[in-house]
Order: sequence, then C-alpha cells, then structure tokens
Amino acid sequence: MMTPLNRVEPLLGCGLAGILKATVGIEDAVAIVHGPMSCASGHRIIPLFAGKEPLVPTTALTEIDMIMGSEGKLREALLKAEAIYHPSLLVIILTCATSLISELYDLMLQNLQDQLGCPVLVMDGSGITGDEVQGYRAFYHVFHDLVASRSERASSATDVELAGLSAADYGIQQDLIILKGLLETALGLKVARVLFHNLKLERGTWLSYPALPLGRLWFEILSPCPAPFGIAGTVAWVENIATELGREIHADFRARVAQAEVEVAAFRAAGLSQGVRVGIEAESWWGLGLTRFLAEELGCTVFLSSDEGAQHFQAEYGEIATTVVDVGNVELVEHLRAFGADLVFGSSYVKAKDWTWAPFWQPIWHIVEEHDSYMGLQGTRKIMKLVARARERKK
Amino acid sequence: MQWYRGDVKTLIENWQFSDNPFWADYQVLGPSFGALSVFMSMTDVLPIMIGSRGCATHLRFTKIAWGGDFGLEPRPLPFIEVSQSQVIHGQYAISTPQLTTLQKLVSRFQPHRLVLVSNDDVLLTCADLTPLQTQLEKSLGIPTSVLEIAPISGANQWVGYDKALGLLYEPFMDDVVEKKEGINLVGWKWPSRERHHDIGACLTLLKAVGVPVNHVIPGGASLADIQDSLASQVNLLWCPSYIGETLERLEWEKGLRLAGFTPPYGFEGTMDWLSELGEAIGDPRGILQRAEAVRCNYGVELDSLKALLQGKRAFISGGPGRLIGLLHVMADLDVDVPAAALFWPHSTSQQNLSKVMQRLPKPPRTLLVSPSLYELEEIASEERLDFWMGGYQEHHTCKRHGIPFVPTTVYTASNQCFEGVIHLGRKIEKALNGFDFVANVFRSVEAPNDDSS
Repeated sequence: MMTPLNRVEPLLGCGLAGILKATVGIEDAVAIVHGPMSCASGHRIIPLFAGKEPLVPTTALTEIDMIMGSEGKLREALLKAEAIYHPSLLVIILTCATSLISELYDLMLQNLQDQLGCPVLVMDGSGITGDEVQGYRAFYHVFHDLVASRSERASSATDVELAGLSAADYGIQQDLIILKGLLETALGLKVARVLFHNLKLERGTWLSYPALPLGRLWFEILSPCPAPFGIAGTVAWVENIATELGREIHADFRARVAQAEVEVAAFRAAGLSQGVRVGIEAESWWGLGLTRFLAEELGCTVFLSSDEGAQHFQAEYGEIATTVVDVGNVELVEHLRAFGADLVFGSSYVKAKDWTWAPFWQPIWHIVEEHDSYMGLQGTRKIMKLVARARERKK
Repeated sequence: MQWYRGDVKTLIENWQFSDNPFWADYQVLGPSFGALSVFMSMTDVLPIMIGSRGCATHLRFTKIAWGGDFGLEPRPLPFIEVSQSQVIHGQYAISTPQLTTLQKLVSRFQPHRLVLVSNDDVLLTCADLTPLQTQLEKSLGIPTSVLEIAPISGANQWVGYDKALGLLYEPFMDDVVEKKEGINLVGWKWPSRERHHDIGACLTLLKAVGVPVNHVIPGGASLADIQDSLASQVNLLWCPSYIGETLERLEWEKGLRLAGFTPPYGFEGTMDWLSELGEAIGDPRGILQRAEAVRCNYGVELDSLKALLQGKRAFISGGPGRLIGLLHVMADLDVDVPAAALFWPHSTSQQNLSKVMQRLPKPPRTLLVSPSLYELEEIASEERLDFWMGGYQEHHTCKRHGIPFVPTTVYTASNQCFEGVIHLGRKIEKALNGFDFVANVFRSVEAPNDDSS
C-alpha cells in the first residue's frame, strides 16, 4: 500500500508553518520569527491564506548574530511588539538557525515578564525537528497548558470546542458552517470556540469546554474518525462524537441521512462514478474522509497524498487507497499522471489539463471562487457532480 | 538589517542606518529566494535544497504561484531531508529511493547542471557537502555544484542573486572569448518575453533604438547562453540591485561593461538608462537620437496625464530599482511625494536617490528604509494622500484608510520604459476613479488595445 520514503518534493512545510497556522487564528497574539528574514518572508502566505494582513515580524538575524548572540535583539523585539500591538500572547518561533545554536532565553524572559504583561511562549519551528503538522500540535499542547492554569469549566452542557483547525485552511469558513450545523442539528451541540479561528485570548478567566479534536489533532483520540464527507463518513463522525459525549442523535438527522442514501445509491446505480479515478492531496483528516466516500460509497479508485496520519489509520483499519506520505508539487503530479487521474482534489500545484481539478487544499493561488463545503450531507451532492463531470470528460 | 526613518537629505548625506529587530516586513525576500530566482528561471539548471523542508515548500510557492502568469512553467524543487541528528553528525547523504525519484525528475526535465542550495544548518556546522555532490554527479551523470548561501547569509535577496550568477559563470571564466556585436540584458525577471511584460518592453525599446540583444540573463536562458553571453559587449541591467562581485568581475576580467545604474523607468530615467548604454557601446548620440523619436510618440498622452495628476500627493515604495524608477515617473507626472519607502538598500541606492530627488518638485519629508507594516499605518494616518503606489500587500493599509491603491509588483502591462509611464499614469487614473486593483488583480486595465511604439 505505502511507498517507502522516496519523495524529494514534500507536501508539508516545517514546524514554523504549523505554529503560524495556529497563531494566525488568535486575533490578539503576535508571533515573532526569531531567525533569518527568509523564514518570516516565506511564511507571509499563511496570514494571507487566512485573509489577513501578512504580519510575520522577524528579528531578521544573520550570520553575525549567530556568533555574537541574539538575546538582545529578541528582547528589543518583544518590547516593541508589546508597545505597538499590546498582545495577549507573544509567541517566539525558533528557526533552524536559532534552534541549532540553542541560546537560552529563560532568564531574559523571566525578567521581562512584568514589562510585557502577557505570556510568552517559545516554540521550535525548525524544519529539521518537525513538519507543520507536528508544529501545530506542539503549539496546541503548549497553549492548552498555558490556559489550563486559569481555566474554569463552562456551565453549559451543550457547548463544545472544536480543535485542530486553522484560519488559514482552504474553505474554513464554509467547512465551519457545515460542522457547526451538523453538531447542532444531529446532536443539539453548540460550538462555543474554534481552535484556532477568530479566537480572542484576552486576559482573565478561560472557560473550558469539552474539546472535539479534529483537523490536525484528529489522531490524538482513542477512536479517531476522519472528516465528515459522504453519507457514511458524516454518520460515523456524528456517531463518534455522540459516543464520546454521551449524546443522542436526533431523529431528524437520521431521516435526512436516509434520504441522502437514496440519492447516492441512485447515482451509483446509474453508473455515474464507474471507472472514475480520483487523486487527493490533503492532510489526513480531510484527505481520508474524502477518500472513504469516493472509494467506499461511490466505488471510485483513489490515490491519496497525505501526512502520516493517513498511513497509521489505514494500517489499523484497513487499506482504502493507494497512499503516499508527504509528496507534493511536480512529483505528485507525476504520480497522478501515472495513476491516470480523472479528477483531482488538491492545491494549485496539482491543477493540470489532464484532469478536472477541484480546489481543496492550500496553497490555492489566484482568485478562486470559494465554493460551498464538500463536507456533510449537502457536500455529497457537490462531490457527486464533480465525479459525474469527470466521467463525462473521460468518455 | 538596515533600517532608517527620517528625512531624505540626512540619509543621502550620511547613509547611516539603525537596526530594527521587530521588522514586520511584507515585501523583502531572502538570499535563498534570490538564488532560486536565478536557477529556477534557467531552462536547464535544477536546484536541490538541502536541509529544511520549509525552505523547499515556501520558496517553491513564491516562485511557482506567481511565475505562471509571467512565463515560468511549473517545475520541481527537490529537497534532500536531513534530521537534527544527521545535522549534528554531519551526515548529509541521499537515500537510494530518493535518488531513484530524483533520477526520474532529471530524465523528465533534462538539466545540465544541478545546484545544491544549503540551508542554515550547513553553514552553521560547516558541513562538507562534497561527498553528496560526488554521489549525485556519479549517479546522475550531471555536473553538480554547491551554493553556500543560506537564509542567514543576508537580510535581503541581493547576496543570493550575486552568488548564484557567479556560480553559473564560474566554469566559463577561463574561456578565451572573441567579442561580437550586441549586449546582454541582465538581472532577474520572470522569463516571459511578451510585449506587455518587463523583458518584452525592454527588448522592444532596445530594438527600436537599434541595439541587438544577444541574451537575456537569467530569465529563460540556458547554460549555453551563459557561456555565449561572455562574447557580448555590455551587460545592461534593468535594475541596479544585481550589481555585485559577479557583474563587476565580468566587467574587469571579461570586458563586459556594466550599464544601467539608472533603471529604465520614466521619460528621463529611461533616457538616462539608454545614455549609459550608449556610452558603454560607444554610440552615445545615435542611441539617444533614436530614443528621442520613440519618446515623442508618447508626448501627447504624457501631457494629458500630467494635467490630471499634477500636484496629487502620493506615497511610493519599491526596491532599489523600482523605487528610483517610480520616483522618476512621479517627477515626469509632477506628482508630489510626501513619503516614500525603500524595501532594502543597495550600494547604488545612495547615488540613485540623490539624483532622482533633484527631479522631484520637492523631496519627501519622510523616507523609510526596510519599512514595517505598522510604519505604513503611521504614514497613512499622518499624510493626506491622494493615492498610494507600492507592493501588493500594502493594499491592507490603503483599504483601512480609504486610499486609492496602485500595485506595482503585480501588473498586466510593464511599468518600464517610455510606455511604462503611460501605463502607470492610466493605472493611477483608474485608481482615482475607484477601480479596485486588488479585486481585479490580473485584469488588464492599464493598456487597453495598446499598440503604441
């Protein structure tokens, strides 16, 4: 099923990218890239993906700072950040250079704490220590520990927190509409907060809600469930949460599922997905969810490029698709050509004349009209339309 | 990094900078970007990143996402991953499966040279990449070089441009070359030769003034072009920021005279550019006479744009070539520039700023060097601006302050040469009339039915 680690063009960026994908969703946080300017400039795309100004400040270190030390510059940067932006959280992101020289900042940060008036986190974003999924997760756990000390359990029994997403994710606004709608209509739950999207940290009490780990955190629970794509995938996702939180599934939702099942069965019976080969480029929660619908419910043959979560899930629950781990750009396009893809969901890198392309994963460049989400029962119809169009084109 | 905020006169007189360790830059890119810009715009050079995956993923985005609109085809940017432990033990090697994948890419893209581009870990640990270089050369049968430029090598792209160009010329530096007529157009640009893009605009003007261009380096060039370009008479730059050790060495050792210290923007700026070229090829009068004839074609439209824009207040920003160039255009149009920003300073910037300031109705009260987003915010609040012209990301500031915005780093018709003044003037006019260049980023509006010159 899996190919050995032979790729030379990665899908995922470094830890720094993952940390920024998290912090960009905290409105009152400022992240400082403590390293060379390249590491900051290259990641300005992340706030841009989130529809924000490309604020990625940097200490802009060069070789001489590696020799003379960079603590003074970092101190000055923190003070200036506080004076200009008055953040509720400062995040220092180390790069390969500052990670390797391992300067100690603890004492300086301890002394600065009163002047800054907000917590300061130091995260290692170096690409030689981890990829962006690992960077995001590392930040999430440090953040979780940070707020735990001032947490108070929320009184509402129906409020939940979604965790593992980013404001920079492609189609996040539309996906959130579906996810919130599903939780409300199927389980009577209300999303009180999304980590990390439009989050205001502020200073004071932090209300804690039952967390639903998805996105980049989906594999951190005992019975992981990919994103809710297709009928079976949506039902599985809802049932998983119902079990986790001890909730009943509403009858209305069951009725809508039954109706949607009829549509999918009719689609498949009409042979509209027959012989369609689909390529998918996405992180595992999204990629596997979509793969399962296409392969298991529509009978398509699927090729998936994803992160390690896709590998682990299939090793445990059975193979769904030909899967490569962490392959992107031209190398992935070559794989998709060899596979004979008719329809490809992914980033702009995999847009090609050879197949029908559906924007699904960052980076998406140029202005692409944001479509409604492919998730949930509504999204099922959109996916089926694309599959039918790809089959038509193939003919 | 070199930071300055103050009046222009003091900067030009002293040329002294401070440091800003909280640089919220939005436009400058690093040395590796500079190097990859050179290599990835060549037809037969394949750069390979060593070390961190982040460098490979964000640099390929910056090149490929924007390059598609300017003639750069999608291409691979392979990387050889090393772990922290491998870095510490100096074990830089490629695995057999990765070598097989690389072989496939090589057979598809047919490069004649591979270049290993270092990351910070290589520089910091003084790692020896020779075994890896040898391994690749032997396995793939392609000459392989190592470029020891990494993100920490500089706070802007300059050293990357210079060293990458140096690496490409190095194998030919001992060649005995017979000179021939014609020049090279030098400095990184997207490879498109289309008339409305920068290379196309310059080639058209050079043809009109009777100067044969042998090669465009490096955009769209091959290694054979690099070798043959040594036979040309002049290296003509369209942006002085590429001037460095390599181009100076080519001038001293290979007789390739350097011209183009003034970038080809604006009526006067373009004439200065051509004048430098005329001096370098020994035909100062002939070129200027022919240039004058081309310039005359745009005179009427310049006057009408000037009548419209005279006295308007604008903020202008750009790199060492573009800022100088745009200020020349503002001088042509009699626009008042109360504040300006230079993205990063080059060794030619002091002289070029001094020269262009003399042409402006009055010098800017504030000049920013290495600007930050929060400083743009202050400028937008303090100055009563009629329009704002600069890097694409400055639109966020303009939007907040309701200032008409004219992007200059993304365009559908070149802002260079005589015609560029007209394109830019039309663009400003559109912005003043409410056209949103951000919502219509690649929609051509500045040069409808343009067939002049």
